[in-house]
Amino acid sequence: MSVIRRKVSGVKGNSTPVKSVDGNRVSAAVVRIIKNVDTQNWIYVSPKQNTWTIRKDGAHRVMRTYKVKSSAVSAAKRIINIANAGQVIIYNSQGEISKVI
Amino acid sequence: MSFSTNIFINCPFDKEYKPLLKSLVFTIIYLGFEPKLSTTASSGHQRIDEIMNLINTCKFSIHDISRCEPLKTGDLPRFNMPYEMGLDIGCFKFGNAQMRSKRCLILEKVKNRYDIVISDISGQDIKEHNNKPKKLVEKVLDWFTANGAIPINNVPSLSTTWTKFQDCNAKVEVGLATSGFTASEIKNLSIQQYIASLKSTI
Repeated sequence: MSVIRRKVSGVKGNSTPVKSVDGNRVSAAVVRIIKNVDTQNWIYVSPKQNTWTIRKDGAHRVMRTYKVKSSAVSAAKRIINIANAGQVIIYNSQGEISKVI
Repeated sequence: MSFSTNIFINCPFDKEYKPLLKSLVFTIIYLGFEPKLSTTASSGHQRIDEIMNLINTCKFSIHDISRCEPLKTGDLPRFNMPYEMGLDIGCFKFGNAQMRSKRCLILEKVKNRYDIVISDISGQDIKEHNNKPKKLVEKVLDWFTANGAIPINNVPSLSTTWTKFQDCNAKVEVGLATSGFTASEIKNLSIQQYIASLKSTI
């Protein structure tokens, strides 16, 4: 089974796949990895009514609002480039992740 | 977990409903409650026995009757959700003192559609979510504020809950990808596995 290797920054410790071999079981080791994901420099791009907003991890307030998605994604990419760390998480209107950059 | 913190979720488990179900279980866990869903552990178990056991052990219940409709043209509608809701309301009406303390929230897709489907429940306070997860979270938070399950001051705002939901989802997905789960495995993760992952982020 092929394993997707996403560009993941900020995951502390073990980066070896630990998925249980007996199916898609979320084992204690998987839970530990999820717990250790460091989201500090992540930027979230999400739709809000007819606009797109960008927000830093942990902040409830929106940093900026854009009319089009591509502008919001570009702005988010600029922020992580300046910080030289983190990733951009793009959500759809259902609150689900549509892309990780 | 005790009777007073268990919440029975009576909802569909189809692919289209998954975003709504994820936001629902997140809100419940975020508020400090325990979601209880019917997932038959063994094919030897009768599904209805498991459901009745859940109804018996949960003070709160959330019934989503938005999928009382045929899956495709010519099919018959699905009546599992209204049947289970009837069992729960029956316990509240005719049960012992503990059963009479039960509280339930009934969710629908659009306003007043239930008037056509189950007119017997007309007059009850039924909330509509328009198939939008954020709207569903809003209705659940309103219900927690109204039913006194937690002090009003401790009920988080919709925007706080929604941003936390997004943050936790991101953490879960990236954590699972790092653990070796493929994109399709993450997408098709069972709700029980999702709950197990989610609990580690809240």
